[in-house]
Amino acid sequence: MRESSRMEQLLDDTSLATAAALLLAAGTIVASLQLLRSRAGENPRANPDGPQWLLGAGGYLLLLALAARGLTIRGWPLARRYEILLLSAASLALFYAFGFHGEHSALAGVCAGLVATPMLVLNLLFTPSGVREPQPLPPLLGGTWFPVHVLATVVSYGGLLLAGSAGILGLVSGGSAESSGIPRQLDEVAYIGLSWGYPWLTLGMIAGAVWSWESWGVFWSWNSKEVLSLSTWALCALAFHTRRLKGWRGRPHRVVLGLVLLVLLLTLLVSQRLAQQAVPGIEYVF
Amino acid sequence: MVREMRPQQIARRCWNFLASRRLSVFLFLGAVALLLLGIFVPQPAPPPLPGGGIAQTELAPSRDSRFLHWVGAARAAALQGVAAALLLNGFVCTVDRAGRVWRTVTRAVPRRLPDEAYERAPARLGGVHPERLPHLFRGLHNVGSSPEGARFFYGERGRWTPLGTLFTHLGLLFLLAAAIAHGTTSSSTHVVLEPGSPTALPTRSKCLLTLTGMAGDSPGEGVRIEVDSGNRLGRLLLTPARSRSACGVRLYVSTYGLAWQATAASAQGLELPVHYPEAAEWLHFTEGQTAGTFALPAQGITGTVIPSPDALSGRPAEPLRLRLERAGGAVLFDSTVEPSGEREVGGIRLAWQTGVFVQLKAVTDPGFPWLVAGGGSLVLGACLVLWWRPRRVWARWTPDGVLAVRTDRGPLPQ
Ligand code: HEM
Repeated sequence: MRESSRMEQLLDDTSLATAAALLLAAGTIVASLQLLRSRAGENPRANPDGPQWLLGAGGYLLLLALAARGLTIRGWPLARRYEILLLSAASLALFYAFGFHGEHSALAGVCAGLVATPMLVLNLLFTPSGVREPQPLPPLLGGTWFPVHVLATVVSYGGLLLAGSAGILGLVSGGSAESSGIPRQLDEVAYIGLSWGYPWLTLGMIAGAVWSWESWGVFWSWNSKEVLSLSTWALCALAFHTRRLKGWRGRPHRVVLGLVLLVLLLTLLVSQRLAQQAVPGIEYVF
Repeated sequence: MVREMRPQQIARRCWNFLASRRLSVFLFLGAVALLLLGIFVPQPAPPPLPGGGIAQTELAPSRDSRFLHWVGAARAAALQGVAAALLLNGFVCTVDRAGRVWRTVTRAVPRRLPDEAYERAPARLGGVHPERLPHLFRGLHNVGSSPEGARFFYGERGRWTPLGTLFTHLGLLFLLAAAIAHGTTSSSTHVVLEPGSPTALPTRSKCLLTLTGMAGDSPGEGVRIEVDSGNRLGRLLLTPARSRSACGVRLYVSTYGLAWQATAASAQGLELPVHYPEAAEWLHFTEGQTAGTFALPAQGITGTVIPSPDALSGRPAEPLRLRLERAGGAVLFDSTVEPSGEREVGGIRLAWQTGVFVQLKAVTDPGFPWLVAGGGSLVLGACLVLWWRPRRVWARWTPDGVLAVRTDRGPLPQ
């Protein structure tokens, strides 16, 4: 009995997520230091893959936290905003850990950490404990297509959040450091993130449409999360078209990337509230 | 001469403009602006749809919401215009580039370059053993050798990648087809199935549905339906979370509840008419309704059925209260009874049974297959373009162990 309660404590999802937040913060700091060193012309010492390890470990801990929630309710643990934010942070951290080595890696680590860490910390701080309690899903949020929809969408968020973050950092550093090539490297990082995220986002939206059709007989209902997802999708397509277009490269392209981040965060943070205001009773974010 | 060329030039310019990426950029910006505006800015409520359009009946915005009349935004002429222009732009771009893209992917590429190309190769590696080459560069294979002992290698990947842009843009056209088919030919109707008796689908009169039972002790756990499509008999299990297709229609459990029915006969054995509200053949207990009435008009008798809360949640095996009154208010009978049974009351033999009714939503939407095709094409195209960058590599190995490598773009392959 004592053994099992200790085990439960160990697998308590809040502790796991808190540990993950510490790892993500550490990864961000290490990546920033590496970046500063490389800009100062020093060679990265010790382990050049340090940020990948730290952020990757943070990502895995978050997956573990979600698995612990799944075990508690003995079912699919991904539908509410708290869970989706945990998974989005994990997706971003893991995409970075597996997608970047060598060139641009410290820069991409800063971009990933600067979004994933506050996202996770704020989620932990501001989600009321009652809402954080794992609860089984209503039957309508079931079937084959719902998990495909959620997973594909959140996998896409890993890439798109990184792209947005790189866009904003590119805008911020554009004036002072254009000559150092940092904004251009950030554009490269953003493109890698966008290329990863875009097909997954498309798949996620289509899977959502199929799920909605199978559950309600409607494949598109113009609700706030759908409209925000469509806006994100259109902004990404816009970013692909502005990337190499004369007059749109550079700053305007980075503004588009920044908008991708903004609209994504809106989707994650406020679409639930918007949906409740419009159709009371709807609390599903995805 | 110049003047004669002008219409052609104008046409050419228009075509180029319609096929341009610049136009798509402005149109995308417009679409995003309108979509976001549709979310955050109060808009007039949408007009009611003729024939009960799906989006509106299913997710009607509540009256007190200040904004978020997305349905209105979706129908806004401006958004429709931008969407149409985007699709035209995508279509023209696809047509314009299709030939060129096709020629690019089918063009024969030399697998061995002239000697000078290798001499001037940007990358030269020393001490390479030719057997290790395929490990050094994946996909590289031997394409010949020279009498001097030099060996030539060639590798390519992503030959078909340029088609990805076409697939992506084509996918969008399929989505347009989905939207048109949905807007013009989709239908959504409701059909009520009474216990045991066949009901024709309103949109497919030859298709008869019969409610034959439940998966558990309430329809919430699933209802069994027999489908007679005219030439084939089938069985379906429908649950509120699981729809099914039958007779070319998608069926959804929309609502369900208790159903109650009585038959009455006079002392002489003559059948007496029993009337239910809305000329139904059963008394339905819809959501929120706690009691139901029926009438025996010839006898001036009114009956009231009051199911228990458990029974109201769709459990037909629970006892219920039955009350019969004469027109003046005199109570003939008032007692808790079994779900089915019979009684003699005031010279009338009353028999009753309890079951469940199910209201199904029957939807046909020819837009759905287009949506799936468009989505598939979009995802396939995006994966091709974004994940499979084209690359060609030419290499020459000479017996002194030097490998000269050229690629068609950028640095050496990993
Ligand atoms: C309604 C939506 C769209 C429209 C109107 C549109 C329009 C266009 C146009 C006009 C071009 C210029 C073609 C050229 O310059 O060769 C283009 C290129 C391109 N589009 Fe789109 N597009 C749309 C959606 C998308 C989407 C969703 C993607 C997703 C990946 C995409 C990816 C591309 C790419 C990669 C190119 C560059 C092709 C190249 O450089 O060869 N487009 N698009």
